[in-house]
Amino acid sequence: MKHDKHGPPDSRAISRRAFIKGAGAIAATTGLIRTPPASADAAPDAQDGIVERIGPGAQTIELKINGEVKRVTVEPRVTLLRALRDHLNLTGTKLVCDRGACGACTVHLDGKPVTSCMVLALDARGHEITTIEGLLTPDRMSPLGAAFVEHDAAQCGFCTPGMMMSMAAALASNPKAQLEDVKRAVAGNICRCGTYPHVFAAALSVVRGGNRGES
Amino acid sequence: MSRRVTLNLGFQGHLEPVTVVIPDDEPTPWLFGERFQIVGKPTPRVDGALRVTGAARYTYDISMPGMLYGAILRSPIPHARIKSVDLSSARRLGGVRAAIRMDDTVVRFAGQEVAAVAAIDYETALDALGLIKVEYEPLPFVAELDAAMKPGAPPVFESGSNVQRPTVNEHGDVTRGIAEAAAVHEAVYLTPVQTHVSLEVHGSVARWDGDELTVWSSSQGIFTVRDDLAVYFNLPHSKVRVVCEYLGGGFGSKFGAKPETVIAARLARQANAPVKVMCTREGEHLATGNRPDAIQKVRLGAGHDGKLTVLELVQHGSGGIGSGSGSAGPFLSLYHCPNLRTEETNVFMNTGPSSPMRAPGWPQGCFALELAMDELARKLALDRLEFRRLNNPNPVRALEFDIGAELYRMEGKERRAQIHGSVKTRNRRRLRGLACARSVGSASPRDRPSRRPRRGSDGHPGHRHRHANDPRDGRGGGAGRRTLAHRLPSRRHALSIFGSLGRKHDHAVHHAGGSPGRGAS
Repeated sequence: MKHDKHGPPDSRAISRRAFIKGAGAIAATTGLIRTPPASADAAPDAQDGIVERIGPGAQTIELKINGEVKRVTVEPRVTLLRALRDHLNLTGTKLVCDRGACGACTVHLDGKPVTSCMVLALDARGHEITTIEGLLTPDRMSPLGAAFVEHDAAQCGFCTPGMMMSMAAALASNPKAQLEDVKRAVAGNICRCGTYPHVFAAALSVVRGGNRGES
Repeated sequence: MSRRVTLNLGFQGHLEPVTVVIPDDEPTPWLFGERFQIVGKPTPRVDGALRVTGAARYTYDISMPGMLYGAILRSPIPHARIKSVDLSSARRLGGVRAAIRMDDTVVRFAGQEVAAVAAIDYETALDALGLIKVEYEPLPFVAELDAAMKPGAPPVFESGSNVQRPTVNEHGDVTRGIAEAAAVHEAVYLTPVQTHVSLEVHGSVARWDGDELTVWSSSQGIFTVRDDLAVYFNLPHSKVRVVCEYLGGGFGSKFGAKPETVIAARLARQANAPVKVMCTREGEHLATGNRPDAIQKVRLGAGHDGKLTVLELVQHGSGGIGSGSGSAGPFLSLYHCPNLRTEETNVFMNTGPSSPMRAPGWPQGCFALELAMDELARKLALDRLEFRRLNNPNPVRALEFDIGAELYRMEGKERRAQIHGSVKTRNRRRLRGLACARSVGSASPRDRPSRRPRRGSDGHPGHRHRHANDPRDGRGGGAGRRTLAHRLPSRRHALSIFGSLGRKHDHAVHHAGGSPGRGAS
C-alpha cells in the first residue's frame, strides 16, 4: 500500500530524478536512453544497454489515460503532468510545486498514486494512467467524491483532486482504513487552506458507509 | 425615496433600538436573532462537485486556441545595474513569438523580473530564457534586517537611508507609566519572513482583441487588476476586463496587476496572440510577496491591581524593497492603557517586496504583545485570562472571553471532539495557549457588490446584476452569496461574480442565475 510516490512503480522505468542524476552527463538534453530491466538508480550504459534512443525533438507517443489511448507529441523532457495539462487539456491534475513535494499532481499509474510531475511522459507509456477526470466527474460522482462535498473537504480546491487521488487509492487497498490510515494517505498532499480534518471525516464516512471510494 | 426604520442593534445581552434611514430600494437589514429559510442552514457548496472532480477551471487551467506560454527571466543577483539585455538569440529560436525586457534599469532583489518570452510551448519558452544575454554590473547589497539598519549599510535606493521615518503613536507618558508599575516586563520578539505559498502560483492569461484587453488572472481583486492595467496601458476602464473564476489561494498576496500579469499582457500584445504566464514556484517565493520579518522591543508594566500602566513597542521590520512592515495594530487596539507609545520603522533591504498576508502586521504584533502579557501576568501572579479581562475595554470581547473560557475549560475528549469529531489525537501532549486578537473586517467599497441596477447583457431591463469581486478562493463568502442567488425564487436578481465591469457582458463568464454547479454564478 505504501510505496514511493516520487516515481513510477515500475522499477524499469526511469524516474525524472533518477534520469537527471544518472544520465545527466551522458544524455543531458540530447536524448533519453531506456535500459533493460535494471535498477532505476543505475546509470544507463551507453554502450550496450540501449534499447531505444529518443529525442532531442518531440515525438508522438501513446498513453493510456482513463481507459483510452491518447496520442501526444512531446519532447523527452516533458513530464506526465505537463503532457496531461498542456497537451491533453486534462487540467484537473494540478501543477503546484513541480518537484514531487506537494501531491497536487497525484495520478494513478497502474492503480498506484504517483506524483505526475516526477514522471516523464515517455515513462508513462505502457502503464494504465488514471487522472481525477477518470476517477469521477460532476455527473458521475464516487462515494468518496460525494463525501468530500458533503463534508466540505475543499476550500480553494487546488489540492483537492490530488487529495482525492491519494485517498481513493488508499481506500481501495484498505477499505477498513482508520483515522491514522487516512491521515497517512494524504500525508504527501499539502493543503494551505487547512481542509485536513474535513478530508479525514469525509474518508472515514465512506469507510463507515461500507463503500470503497472507487468510482 | 427613503424610510425610517427602528432596528434592534448590538450583540447578545446588549441590544438597543436605533432608528436609521434606509433608501427605498434597499432591503431592511437583518435583525438580531432573526431566523431565515436559507441563511443559517447548512448547505453544500454550490461548486463543491466542480472542485472535488477537478472540473473547476482555475487561471492556471485556462487554454484557448493559439495560446502561447510565457516564462520570466529573473535576476540571479540581489542588486545590479542592468547594462544590457540581448533578446536577439531568444527571438531567433524556433517557436518563440515574443520577447521583452522590463522597464527597470536596476534590479534590487534576486528574483526581480528582467525579461520574458512567449513561445508555442512551455519548454521552448524555457529554452529561450536560456538564450537571453544580460550584462549585470553588480552593486553592494544587504539582505538581512540587522545589517540593513546599520549606518553605512549599502543603500537599497539611491535616494537615501534604508531606515524609513518611523510611524509613532503616543498618548500619556511612558516614563510615568514605568514609574507607576509594580512589575515591568521587557523583551525583544523576533519573527521571520513568511511566504504565502498559495497552491496556485501568481499568473495570468492575457488576450487582446484590438485595443481591448481581457485578462484571466489568479487574483483576489479583479477590480484592482483592472485599474492597474488601465493605468499601465493607458486604457479606459471599459477596455479592460479581468476574470477570475476559481482561485487556488491568495492569502492576501493576490491584489493588483503584478509584474507577471503586466508581462502576460505585454507579451500578448507583441505576439498578437493570447499568452499565459504563471510564475514558477521559485519565482513565487522570491517575487510575489511575503509577510515581513520584525524585531519588536516591548515594554509592558502594570500595577498591583493588574491594570496596565505602560505599553511600549519599538519595532523594525523589512518589507524588502517595499514597505508595510508595521505591527503596532494589536498594541493600539487590544487593551486600555493610559501610557502608550508605539514606534514602527520600515527598513529597506534587497529582497522581494512584501504584500499583505492574512491581517497584515497582526500576527507579528499579537505574537509579541500576547507573549508579553503572559509574562507580565506571571510576574503579577495573576491568571492570564483575568489579567486580560482587567485591561479589556471592549464589551464584545468580554463576551468572547466568556465563550473562549468555556471552550478552554472543556477537557480531554470533549475538547478534542470539538476539534476533530469523535477521533483520538495521536499527539496527546497537546500544548495549549491563550491569546487575544482582533479581526479588522473591511472591504474596499468598490469591492462590494455594486448596487446600481444595470441593464443585463441580454438587454433585459428587469435583471438586476450585482457585480461582486468574489473570486472562488474557497473561504465561503462567495459560496454563500451564490447559494442565495440560486435559491432566489425569481431570476430577476442575477449575480455576476467573476468579471470586472467592462463594457461588455460575456455570458460565457456571467451565467445569470444559472443552475447550481455549472459554470459561473
